[in-house]
Amino acid sequence: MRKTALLLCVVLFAAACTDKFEKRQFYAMGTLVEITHKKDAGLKQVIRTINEYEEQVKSFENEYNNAPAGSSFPINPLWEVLFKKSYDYKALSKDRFDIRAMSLTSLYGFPEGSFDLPSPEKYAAAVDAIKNKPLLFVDGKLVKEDERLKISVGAFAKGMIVDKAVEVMKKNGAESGIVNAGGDLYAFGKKNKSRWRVGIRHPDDASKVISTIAISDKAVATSGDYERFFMKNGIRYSHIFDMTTMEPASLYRSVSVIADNCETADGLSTVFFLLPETDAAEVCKRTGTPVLIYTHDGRLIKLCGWESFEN
Amino acid sequence: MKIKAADIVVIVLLFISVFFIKNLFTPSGAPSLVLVTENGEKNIPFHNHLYDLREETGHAMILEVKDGRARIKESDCPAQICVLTGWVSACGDAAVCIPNKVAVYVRCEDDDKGLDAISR
Repeated sequence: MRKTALLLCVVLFAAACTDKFEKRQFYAMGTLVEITHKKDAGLKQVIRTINEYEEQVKSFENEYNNAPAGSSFPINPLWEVLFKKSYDYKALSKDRFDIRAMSLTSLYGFPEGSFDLPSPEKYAAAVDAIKNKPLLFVDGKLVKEDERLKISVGAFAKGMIVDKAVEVMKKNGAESGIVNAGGDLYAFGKKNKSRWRVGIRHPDDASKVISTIAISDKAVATSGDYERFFMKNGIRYSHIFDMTTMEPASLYRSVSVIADNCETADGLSTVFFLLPETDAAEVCKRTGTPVLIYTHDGRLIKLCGWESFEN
Repeated sequence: MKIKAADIVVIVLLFISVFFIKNLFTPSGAPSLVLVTENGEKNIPFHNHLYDLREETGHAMILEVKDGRARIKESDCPAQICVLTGWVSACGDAAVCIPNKVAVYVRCEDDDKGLDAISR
């Protein structure tokens, strides 16, 4: 304990002599958001921006998901982008990723619980809807063809909102900082003339990291099976489902992606979580994004130049 | 009820950890939720979630995490002190159930690895 205290003093002392950043934590998008900033980064406006975008995303999802068959929904510019992105990720993942996965995952209780296995009838009905009822767009409107269809853009909307928050910080004159939404983060500028140091959490131990990277003007996001999941009969049901097998993805423990913006890092971390190793190695070349995979047997797979960010 | 030596150790540890954390770490750092049971410590994410602690503790207890706060929602202990404690959210806050040897508390500390952020 004395050592810890001493270390803390050293850290605090060191911090006092250098660039002064403050951290602000608050809850948004269903997780803890942490903003590392210098004074006057317009935090109030940043938080308002986050809340506004979250509301835009959620309200459309809720409206669609709770609506009866035959309803139609006008698409605002934000959702136009979200739909377009969702098809990019679907293509990259070879149809494993699909925002309609919510039709199935919601039956298990995701995202917030309480969790349980769905009845075989409900499961079969959701699978049928996903397989046979693609999203239907008519005259620029989204038409809900089947009552069982539900959508969620949770896989990449959080990242997109992080990017919007960073934009607002920059508009307010911030030259450096981090916006971290529950592990999906964007770090811009520098701290004490060096790049930001970001750790990737160990899936089994929150106090350990499996990799440390140094980044500036880059985003990192991680998808794993260790935060949003439940256990039933000794089987782990994680929140990311493969839409080609209709089962929870279980290839890896965690996947992290470095990208130029957080929306891309966020979406691709889910895509790579669903892709077998050989596909992942090929796809990351196309997307130009370094990838870190932590396997079930504790192996680290580093693809497309991840090492080059490890100092 | 017979109290064994190990029980006393756990009880004392629960108390000490709560007060130690509260005193030392109050002002700084990112909060994390820690669940303490007889099996040790475990970090709980801040995502909204209901946890059934039956397997973990051997008791009928429900831990609820919602909007950045946590509470013991239900417990089979007689005095219901942990339930009555209500929501914990600030650094060092704790809901402790001594009979079941379960505690949930908010730990805040500066990470000691010189990291600016964690991706998880």
